[in-house]
Amino acid sequence: MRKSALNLLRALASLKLTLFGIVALLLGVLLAYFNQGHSSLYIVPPLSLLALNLLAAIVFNPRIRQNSGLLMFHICLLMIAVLTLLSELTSMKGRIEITQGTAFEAGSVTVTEQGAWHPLDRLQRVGFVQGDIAVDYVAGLRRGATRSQLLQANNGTAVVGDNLAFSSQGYRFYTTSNKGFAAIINWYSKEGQIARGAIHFPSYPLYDWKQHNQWQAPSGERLDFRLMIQTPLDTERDWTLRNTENGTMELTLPDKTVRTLKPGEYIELGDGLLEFEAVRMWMGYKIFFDPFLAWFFAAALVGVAGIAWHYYLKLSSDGNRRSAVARKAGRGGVVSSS
Amino acid sequence: MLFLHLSPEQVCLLIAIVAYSLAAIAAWAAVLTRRRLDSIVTIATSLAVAACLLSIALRWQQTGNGPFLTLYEVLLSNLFSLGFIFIVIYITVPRARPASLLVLPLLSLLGWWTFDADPAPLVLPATYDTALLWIHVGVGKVFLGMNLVAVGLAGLIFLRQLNRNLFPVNAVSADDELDELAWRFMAVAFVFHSLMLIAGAVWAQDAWGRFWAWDSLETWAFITWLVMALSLHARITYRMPRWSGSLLIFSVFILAFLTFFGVPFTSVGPHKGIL
Repeated sequence: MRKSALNLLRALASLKLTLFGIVALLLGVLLAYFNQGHSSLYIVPPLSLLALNLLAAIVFNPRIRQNSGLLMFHICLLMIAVLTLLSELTSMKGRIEITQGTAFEAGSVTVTEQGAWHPLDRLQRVGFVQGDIAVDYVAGLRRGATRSQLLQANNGTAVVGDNLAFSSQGYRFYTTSNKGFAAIINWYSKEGQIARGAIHFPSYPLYDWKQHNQWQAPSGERLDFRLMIQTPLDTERDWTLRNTENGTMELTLPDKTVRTLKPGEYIELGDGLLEFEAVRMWMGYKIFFDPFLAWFFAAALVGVAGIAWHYYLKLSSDGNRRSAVARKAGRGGVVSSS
Repeated sequence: MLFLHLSPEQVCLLIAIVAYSLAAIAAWAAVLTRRRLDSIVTIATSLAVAACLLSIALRWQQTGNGPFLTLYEVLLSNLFSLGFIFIVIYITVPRARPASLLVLPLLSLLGWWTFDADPAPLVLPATYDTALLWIHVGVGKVFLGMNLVAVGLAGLIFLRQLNRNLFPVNAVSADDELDELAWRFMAVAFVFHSLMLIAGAVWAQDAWGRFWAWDSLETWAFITWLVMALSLHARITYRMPRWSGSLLIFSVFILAFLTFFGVPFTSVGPHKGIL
């Protein structure tokens, strides 16, 4: 029984199985690439096979065990496979749009991927307020630097954008190309309740030609908002996208009546009063959480160091052997092209 | 009269192409006439590399950006880096000199392609303003340079299979030696390709909030890495005929070539600097 188990493990350590595993992974990668959204289905089986093959090879293959660099490389490859599994279980990806002047709310996050072991209550501990937003453009609408100011609870300020993420509680917040204008509105009900909110218009300047959105008032009216920005988009010169003070709001009521509101103006509806307070900006963030990121990096780097060390030793010993043979044969040089 | 319509950077490029072509002719003439023309190859290739470097410098001064974005820039920078890596190997590893028979004509062709590409500059995206770009691109260029030399050596084995009289052993090293040397360069290329993937992943994490996505360039770069791993493993697992080993080296180069010079310019993704 023990012998057959050992034989099975030795078979698992086979180099031929490694080749089969790599070919299977190649096919898996191609399938995942062409059928995006089902990557786990195609990647997990060959990766699991290769992980088992690696583990068995590390234990049973004397060539790997006796070469420290090769051993290091294969252990790191195995670590990367294990880390991939742990990362799948604990990581989280999401997105959120935050209006200038408002605080981050964990409840508003759209979670796009979440591992089974990821504790989402941890996100509740993240706190910051969105500050000013500025995005540079050069002529031809090519986006330059993004600067998004975040005000932290300890009165600190962070400016993030492009290659710099905001990090809090292990979550990383990355600015995206998705950003635009928002209308800050206040709803005053006849019962005296006040509600404040923001209507985000489509990403700007990508959709500068359709800056409108809909909102249903608490009284039930469905309203159509169109943001009118006084400064037209000039694509032929360098400019900076930032908050504008001179936007007006075109409001289409259910009876198709159109009203234009300036900041601070209001309109009376069935059960309350709607005030258009101001135009602000919003920034779209990508949220990323993976506690094993540094481990991935370390494993990859140590693995490459291992294989580099292995090749260095192998190539230099082969070179020395070749020189010795050449000396013995009485020729110091080598055959060259001429 | 052609020179009158060319910018100084294009004149430099043209000089580089002519110098690479001369070096290629010298390498072939050396084999066909059994004469030592190493110094001509060395001088012509060095001149080509210097002309490429000057062309890059002139363009950089004009646009304010390094050669990272357009097909023209990527071709031009590789024309420099591949030539530079090759000439360093040519001088320091005499046994690898036969690779010049294929590498130098390839560089000449790459030069003509560069000359034909649109030189219009583009603005570098803000995410390219990082030291990681230099590391990622730098190690990538070393990988491609090593792979190119391996292709040069493996190509001779392959051509010799087709015509035994093409490269007599007294003119060009024996197949065993070419094969062993080609796989040495492949081993070094594998290390640098791995580093390129790591640096790229770190950059992608900083710039786009993920270290991996099924982005065309990332996927094809990973496929190239897997084919390299497969080739290196196959070589130690089986006693492969040398020509099939050569085919594996070619396949890695073809994948890498398409990944470097094809995929970024046909796909819409972060690497293209979509705004």
